[in-house]
Amino acid sequence: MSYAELHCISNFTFLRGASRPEELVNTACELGYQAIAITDECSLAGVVKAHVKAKQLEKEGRHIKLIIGSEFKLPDSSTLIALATNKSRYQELSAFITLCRKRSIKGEYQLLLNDLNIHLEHCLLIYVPGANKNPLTSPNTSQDVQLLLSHHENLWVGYQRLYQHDDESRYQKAYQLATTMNKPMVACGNVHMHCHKRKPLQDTLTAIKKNTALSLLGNQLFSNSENYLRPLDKLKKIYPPALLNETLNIADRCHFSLEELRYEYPHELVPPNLKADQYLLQLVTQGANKRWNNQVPEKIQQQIKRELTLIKELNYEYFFLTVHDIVCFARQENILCQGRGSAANSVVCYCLFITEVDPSRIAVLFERFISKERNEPPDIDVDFEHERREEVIQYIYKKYSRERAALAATVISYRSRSAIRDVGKALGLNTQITEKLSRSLGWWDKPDELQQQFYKCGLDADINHPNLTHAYQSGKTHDNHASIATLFMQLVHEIMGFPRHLSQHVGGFIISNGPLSRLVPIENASMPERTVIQWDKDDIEALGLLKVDILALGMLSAIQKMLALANNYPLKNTPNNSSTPPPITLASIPDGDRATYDMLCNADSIGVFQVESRAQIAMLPRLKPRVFYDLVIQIALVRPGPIQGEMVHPFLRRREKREPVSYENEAIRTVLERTLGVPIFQEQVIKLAMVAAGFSGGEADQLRRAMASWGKNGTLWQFREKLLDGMLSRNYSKDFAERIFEQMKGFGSYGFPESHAASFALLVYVSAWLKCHYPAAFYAALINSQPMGFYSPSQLIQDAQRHHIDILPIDVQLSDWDCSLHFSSTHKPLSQPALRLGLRLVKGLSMATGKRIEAARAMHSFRHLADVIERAQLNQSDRLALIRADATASLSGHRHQSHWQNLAADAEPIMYERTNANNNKTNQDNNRSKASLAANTHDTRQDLNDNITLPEPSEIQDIQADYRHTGLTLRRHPMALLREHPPFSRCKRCIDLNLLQHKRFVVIAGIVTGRQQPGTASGVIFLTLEDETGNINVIVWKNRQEQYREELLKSKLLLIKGVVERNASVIHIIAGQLVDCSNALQGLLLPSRDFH
Amino acid sequence: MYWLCIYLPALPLEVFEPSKQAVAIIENQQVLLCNDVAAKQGIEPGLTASTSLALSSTIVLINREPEKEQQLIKHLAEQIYQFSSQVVAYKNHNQEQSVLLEIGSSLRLFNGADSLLKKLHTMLYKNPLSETGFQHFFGLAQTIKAAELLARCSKGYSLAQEKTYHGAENKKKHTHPFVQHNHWHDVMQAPVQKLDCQEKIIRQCLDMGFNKIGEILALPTSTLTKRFNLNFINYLDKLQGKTQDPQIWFTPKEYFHREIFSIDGLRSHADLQQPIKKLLTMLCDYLLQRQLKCTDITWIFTRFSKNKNTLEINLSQPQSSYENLLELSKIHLDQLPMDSPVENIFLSSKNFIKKNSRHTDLFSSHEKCGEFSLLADKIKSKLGDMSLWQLKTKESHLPEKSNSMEYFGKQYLNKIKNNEMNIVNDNDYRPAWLLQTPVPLKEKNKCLLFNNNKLHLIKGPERIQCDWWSNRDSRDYFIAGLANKSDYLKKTSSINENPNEQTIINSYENVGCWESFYWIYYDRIKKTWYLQGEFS
Repeated sequence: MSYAELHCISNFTFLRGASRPEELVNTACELGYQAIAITDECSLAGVVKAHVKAKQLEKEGRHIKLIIGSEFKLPDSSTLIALATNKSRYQELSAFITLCRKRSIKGEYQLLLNDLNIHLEHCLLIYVPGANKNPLTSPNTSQDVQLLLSHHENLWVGYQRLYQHDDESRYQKAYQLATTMNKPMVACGNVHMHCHKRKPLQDTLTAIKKNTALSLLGNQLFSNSENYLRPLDKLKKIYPPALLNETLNIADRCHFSLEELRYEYPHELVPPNLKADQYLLQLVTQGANKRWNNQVPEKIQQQIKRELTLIKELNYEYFFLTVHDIVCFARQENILCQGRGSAANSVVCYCLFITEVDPSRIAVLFERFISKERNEPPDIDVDFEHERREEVIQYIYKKYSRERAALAATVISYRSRSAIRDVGKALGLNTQITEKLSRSLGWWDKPDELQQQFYKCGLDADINHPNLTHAYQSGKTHDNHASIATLFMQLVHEIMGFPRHLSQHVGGFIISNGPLSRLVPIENASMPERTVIQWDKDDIEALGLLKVDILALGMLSAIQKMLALANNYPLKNTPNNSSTPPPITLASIPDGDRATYDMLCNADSIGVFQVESRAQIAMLPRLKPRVFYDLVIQIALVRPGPIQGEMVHPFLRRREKREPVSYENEAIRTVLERTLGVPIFQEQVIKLAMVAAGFSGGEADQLRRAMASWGKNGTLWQFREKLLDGMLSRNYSKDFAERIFEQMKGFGSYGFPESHAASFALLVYVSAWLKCHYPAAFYAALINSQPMGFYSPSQLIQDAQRHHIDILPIDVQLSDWDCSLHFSSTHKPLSQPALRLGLRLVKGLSMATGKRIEAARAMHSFRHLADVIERAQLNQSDRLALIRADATASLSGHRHQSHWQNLAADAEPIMYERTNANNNKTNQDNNRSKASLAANTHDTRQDLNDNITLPEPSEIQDIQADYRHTGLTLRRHPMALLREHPPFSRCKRCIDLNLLQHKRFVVIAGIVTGRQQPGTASGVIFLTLEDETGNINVIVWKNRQEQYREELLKSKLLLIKGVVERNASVIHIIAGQLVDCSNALQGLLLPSRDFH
Repeated sequence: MYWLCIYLPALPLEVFEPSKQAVAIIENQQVLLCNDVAAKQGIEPGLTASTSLALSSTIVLINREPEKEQQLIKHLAEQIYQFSSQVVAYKNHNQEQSVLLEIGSSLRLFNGADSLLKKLHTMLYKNPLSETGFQHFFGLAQTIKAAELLARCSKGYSLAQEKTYHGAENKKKHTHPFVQHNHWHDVMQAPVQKLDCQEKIIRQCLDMGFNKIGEILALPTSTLTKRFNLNFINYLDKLQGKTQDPQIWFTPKEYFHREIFSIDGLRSHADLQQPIKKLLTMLCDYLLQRQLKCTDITWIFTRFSKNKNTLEINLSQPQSSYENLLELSKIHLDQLPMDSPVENIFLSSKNFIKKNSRHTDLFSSHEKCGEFSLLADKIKSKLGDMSLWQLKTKESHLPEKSNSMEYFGKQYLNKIKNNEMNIVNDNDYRPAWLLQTPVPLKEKNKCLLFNNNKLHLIKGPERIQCDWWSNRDSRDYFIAGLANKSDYLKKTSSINENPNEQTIINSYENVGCWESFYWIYYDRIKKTWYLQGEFS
């Protein structure tokens, strides 16, 4: 006797299914089932994972048929299961799910009865009558449903026996119905879990879904754990044989596999008279000639030929053409873009202008991009200016329509914090307790510690079970705390990684030749006008579908703006001032600029892409980059992977020639030579596994995947033994082998492949070059692209001031929306223009208002506050924002007077009705003419002072208001004010630290602008203190953290007594004593920035 | 007129019992107040809840409870009512509570301000409503608004006790009789932040550089009216006493309280009848005039020996009917010992509800409910409050949890009133009444025995596995029958003796053969059979 389970809910029916699709398939196979159908509710989100598992089992010689299906709830509280028999039925089902999903908001669906016989005509259907407990459901609805379904050709009446009190009556009801409708009956299990031990988790999921505690759910929980994959002998006893046999008959009729899905990229990109490969060759040839000025090196030509051959062989031409088309659109619209990731390994991508890294600059590994053996689609990630990416997305929707283009999904899964919070809530724990637990995850692998935490929290007060004596699984007697701790931990562990809901991928687009909904169901995203498919990137990859990643990068926006500003500099860098120089572009920036590298070696990199973090800045003077490849190494080196693998110091020692470069053997030399024998890039680690531990190509590929998903599922551990054994048997030291494994762990989500680092290094160089030669443009553009990067506008402005750039305040009379550059009439070619702060820095001011002010001022300058209010149509909140930011000081004198005037402005009739921000151009033109008229006729009308002159704010008041309403001040730094008084008068400033020797005792003080506790720093906290001369880096060791916990958490202004730690020009202060001096700020409340 | 304001800065914390643990009151996820223990651990007002948790692992965070504060203020106002007939319970824009009383006319009665203030201070410091007394500040001025403002500035007469709460205003002691003090000067010097107005207006004042209230009041009124809304201008006028400041006066809670004295003493139950009827008539008149119903009445009988007997009658449903109240009182009176004469009979009623004037449905069950509640009250009067039980149903798969018993209460009557008495149980196969504790069943020769009779499994199993988070239960339930015909036993001898694997084909057709039906289960963990109920 065998059986096919035809009704199975996986955890992709969110907060209902309590088992993963893989677990269901595996258990069904172990139990000897002939087939299993994954039938998530109006969803195919879990089927690919089940498919992959079934394939894996097949490879191991264990066969189980996977049936693709879906479950739908009908209005009469009955259930309908639809199963796909072949490809066209699958397409029908996928389109039907899309239809239901797209009618509703994200996460929901709406099924109309009339759809069933039209849009679900050919699928096999199983109708499981409901208990009809819902008082709102009239018996007529049930009759309607049954009448409608009785016309369906492929319908069964399902019966599930779950040891409930009404098993018998439901059987009789199903039997009568089947007889009346003249349809066969079939057994099905309404499976929600692969084994009965998952019952607690299933109940917990129900509690989370219902947003209540388990103890309050009563009959809403399953009454027993029978909704699992039951052994065949048990099924034999509870179902009549005919019903069991019918499951096999149905399974026999289903022979669709997801492997049959053939995906086609859009064909319209190829001109009618050409084939795709011909057209691609044509584009690549044109691109190559352009890149190499019609002198394409022989080596490159060979590489192009090799790549194109492989692309043709694997039918990827359309994919490249599609990406090329998108990139062409961006260039045409002057949107800066650049491919990154493994695509930078391809010369074809370089010739198609998808990537920008010249293949001669790095070791191109085309196999890392596309490999015949690996047989998986290439991954092309393209970064676009973050402010203009939406234009690219809309282009794709417009060109291919929403029927053919959609974003991939991202499965939002339970991580430790969310798991603790939700399970805690379900168990009825106090939120304070769960909050505490989620903050400190040190107890994670220490159950005793967790129990201690429970004792401390007095947990029994919150669980209303005085006789709590059993932990559900062990059945042993425990005290309250222990049993709750056991349950809690077990449930948290079980729920980890469970999907919570589908979200949209950051930019992964899937585009097809035909309607996408026939390939995979599409549903609405939470963002309006966005749709996502039900599969995530792993599913897409597993099925060999191609996706394009349309990503956003803030630095590209900034660089675009920097170039625009730099091109407005008056005739700088021209050999003779007679002709207009060509505009500066990415391509025209000269290579190997000495001044740029000097600047980087001096750690002057605030604002520079990727090398601006504290760790990167500390590394620059030690690594001393002089060529492009040094930058590639720099950004890949200061990453958690190499840091955890302790690769940084050996590399530095070798680079500084303090340690000889040696290789275990020649094979290792080939892999590690370019990084002085130290593995830094992801490719090197993989290659090492092959040459040093004897991994095959396939195993190396599995290793790469495991590294990528490390932290998510922990599969990397299974390679540890193999790697260590392999390396030890080849006479490598255990220490070396362990370090390589540590590196792999670190590379998990944070490692850089070389090609990716190279793409980024290009932007590092470009941004550094612009900072070096056009600093005013650099800072203005960075501020104009906020939010992005590590530093706040205040920190950027202070850095600009240290670079001797004049910063001009925000002024409604002179500032544009963006920061702008002002050249004096006596501007010298080598001097920098002044930077006028833009209205965008005024907190609470909208861009539309800023633009209205610009437009009103363009007609003629403002005369007084009332004039601005009238002509720029400022509402009360706009006015307050401007006055508080002191942007109106040039009109009224100072903030107090501006506020005084503003309050009186409302008492006077403002001449024109305020218009909303969405006014079209015509309206704005009309308003302009009205405003102009108003300005003329009411020029002298507005004396809003009422002959009262208020006293000016004090300097401290102004500083306070500046920070609060613009986030920065151009007046004196608060520390400069405090410096006049003890104890700050005795503290060293940042600038003074350069003169102090290593290990010297020092007292410093500053405003806390950063608290950082990187995972790689074994519990050390890095503080950044800001004073009037710069940023001071402070290290707080673990032993001090406990002692000064309060100061670390609460202080806005800290005085620190410590010791100077010097390494080359890098200075840190090791904190000894921390004193909270926040009171000294006298209300100068500055928000601190915490980086985690 | 002199208005005294009693400002209670720590009220949000004082509504809770004092704790030896670190406690903080939070509002909008920010600490509003905390006790000394918490303050020693670094907690202070303004911190976020999460920072507080990070600082103290044992801190108890409690959400502010404005309703409790309101209730407490009412109780305090009742106590303060003895000092003045003009009392106001005041809540400012920041939801801070205070009580104001006009003391100008009470000064003579209490022998001057010093004595009055000391009495008030003692009353607040040693108060039955709070174990540790109330922290308070006094503010005295000629207008309500100014007194309230000064109390918050703690510029007034303060006799704050030693205990302090962090986050409450710093206290400042003024022991001199401050009636003669120049209060207006204090108002003018008070910081702008103390104005009782919208946060937005205070912000506007600060934006213009005004730090003291006097700086605003010094400006020409015409410039102010041009810039601020009418409410604020009115407030300033009321602060200065330029306009009237009408308030809703506090009125103490009303209650019925009458007594009858007997010079000769009442010596028997019969003697009590007349005065009791008279007092009840007065009560019913009182209720009728005010359109009220009472929910309890209390009789106190005082003997010549000054011994007292108290009879409290809590009504299941509010009453205003003379007959009903008399009947209930008589039942209680029967239990009153008459060993010594009664000198004084006292009747009081403190809790009332408005008489419902709503029209009820033609066939509503209210009438039935009223009769039932009277019957219930009579039974309770006769047999005691713990004599009446009711069936309690709850949604649970576990039978003993879904059906249980509880003492009869008002909720039950409400259910009758709202026609909610249908027991929520869609399971037709369960007896309504269960045994208090399941009875283990004996097994002999693979047969289940009850009272030495063989039980036969008729229907099942229904498997129940639930409540794993408390007591793990896994049971298989069956309906079992006790046969009354010997020939039936033959008929059913083919039943599989292993009850766990019973099929469900048996049905009702055999009902006639059974003497009685039982609800039994097999405990799958303890591997034992139990009887849990019997079908009627």
